Amino acid sequence: MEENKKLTPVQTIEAEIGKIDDKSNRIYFFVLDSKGSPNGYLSYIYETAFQLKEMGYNVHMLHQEDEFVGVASWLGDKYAEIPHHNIAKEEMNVSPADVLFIPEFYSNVMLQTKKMPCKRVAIMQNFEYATQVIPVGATWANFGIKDCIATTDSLANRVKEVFPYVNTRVVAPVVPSYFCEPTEPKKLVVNIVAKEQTDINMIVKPFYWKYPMYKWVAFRDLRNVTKTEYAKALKEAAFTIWVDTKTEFGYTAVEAMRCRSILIAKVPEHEPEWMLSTNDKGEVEYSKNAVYFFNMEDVHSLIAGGIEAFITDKISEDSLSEMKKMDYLYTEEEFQKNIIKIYVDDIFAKHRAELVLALDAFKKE
Amino acid sequence: MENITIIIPVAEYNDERFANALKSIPSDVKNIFAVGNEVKHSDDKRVKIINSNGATDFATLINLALKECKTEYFGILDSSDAFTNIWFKNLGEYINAKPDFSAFLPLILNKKYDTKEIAGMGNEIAWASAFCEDLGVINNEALKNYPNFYINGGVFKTEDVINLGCLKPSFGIVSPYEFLLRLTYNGKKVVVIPKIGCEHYFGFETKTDEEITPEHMDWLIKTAQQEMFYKEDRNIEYSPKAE
Repeated sequence: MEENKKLTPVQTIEAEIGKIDDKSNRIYFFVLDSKGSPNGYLSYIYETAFQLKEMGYNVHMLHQEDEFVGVASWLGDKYAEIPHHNIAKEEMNVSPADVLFIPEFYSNVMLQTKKMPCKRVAIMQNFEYATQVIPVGATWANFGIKDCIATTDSLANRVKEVFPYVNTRVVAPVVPSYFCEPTEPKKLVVNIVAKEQTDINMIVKPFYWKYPMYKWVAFRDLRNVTKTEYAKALKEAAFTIWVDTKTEFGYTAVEAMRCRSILIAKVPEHEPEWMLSTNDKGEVEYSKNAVYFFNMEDVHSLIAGGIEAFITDKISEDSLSEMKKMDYLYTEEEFQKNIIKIYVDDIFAKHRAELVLALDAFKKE
Repeated sequence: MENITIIIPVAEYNDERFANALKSIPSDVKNIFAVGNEVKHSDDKRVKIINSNGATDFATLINLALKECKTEYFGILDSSDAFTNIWFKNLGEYINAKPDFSAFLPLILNKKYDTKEIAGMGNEIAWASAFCEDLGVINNEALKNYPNFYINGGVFKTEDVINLGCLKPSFGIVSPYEFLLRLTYNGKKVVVIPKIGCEHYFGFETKTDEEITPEHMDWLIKTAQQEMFYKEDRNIEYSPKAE
């Protein structure tokens, strides 16, 4: 990337403040290529980018892939149509008014962009990703990262614990409104959402061995389907089994509950907030919105029990009413409000204020 | 449920089993036809007794009742069986969601009459992933590979069944299979609702059970697949080959 040609400092800064005011400054989001495979991690970044674009901001997506497949096939054209740039091949003009959002995984990009004049903000969706590429002993301070947006309070706390100098805010993910209660009766199908084929094998094969009376029950693997096919599958199926121990948020789980697909979930290493509730005694316990398990050996009896309850109409009303509470969490309206509150009124406003301070300092000179 | 008539074919009357069957029909079903040779008077005012004049076979009994059926849908409940208490609620949801469907079959729970021990299920194969293109919806091609669907407990669109010629008595025990083949061949949609809707009891002595050889059964099944193109019962007879 090339830096802007310098005018006088006062002129430069005034021009930059002008860009912020008329939204002609660039808002960059660094992304990896999904290669056509849907994932919640990327959809969060694209949803954020799209919301800002809809608000009139000059949004651009940056990547380093020669053959960038993009998100059109699974997320939709409106996201794919946000301008994309391969920074390995294109020269980008970055100015102080610009803002660059870098996913936590890309510590190399944090380092490469350290001397850029723009504001840089880390996006933290998965703490483990932040540990993967960063060299041992390096911190975000080394990369000049002072601001972060996390997707959950738990993640934000963990960032503050290790990088206390980073100003961390929370913008919770959004679950689109097309994940909703179906109008048709449920089909007796069991969806499986798991990243590894080994997990799928561990669920399906032993289930048929242990419960041969249910050998007719169909399982459906939801990897590599478009977002709309995925939503349709969740709406149709009576059950969704979810295995993702590394997740911080759990998109599938929330989406399944919104679609009233009874969730049978392996508890991840870091329990998402929606998974927990406080009982009458003030104790934190697992919510009744799903059936939770810790050990893969236990899932089969839960599936069998669920099937029996389904075909005899004995699914708990308590579970169904807890699932309905998901309809009011992570909504599009809430997401838009948070985008305005955190991105516009906080990050962008403070960025402008920093430039105004710099302008005042130069004027005094 | 005023648009449904439940037909109870009574091949062999038994007080206790008949009462059990009647009791399983919810009160908002207003029309019940009990059709058979020896059906006794019932205190249940919804019941109309239709005399079968000696006929005891399933197909004939159903057809006799259909001549008097005025409701949009009719259901079949063998006099030894019982609906479950969840069936009609789920049936209603499916009829509302799929008004273009002609037949709604339940999952069947087979139980020994004396011990009520569960001995297996029926109709569940419609939900197996490789059975049909559309899970739960039976099509003609799939039926050719699997003749063992129960229509007992099922609910059907009266007009569609009558227009297609009702059941064929000459097929005896296989008449339900031929009937489903004919329905699906003519583009009528049949779904198995994935809920246990009917309990089928067995294990009691009867006078009317057909004894049928495997060869005869094979012949009936193959003949059903040929006769499904015809609305009328062509009374084709089985002739075992001479030894």
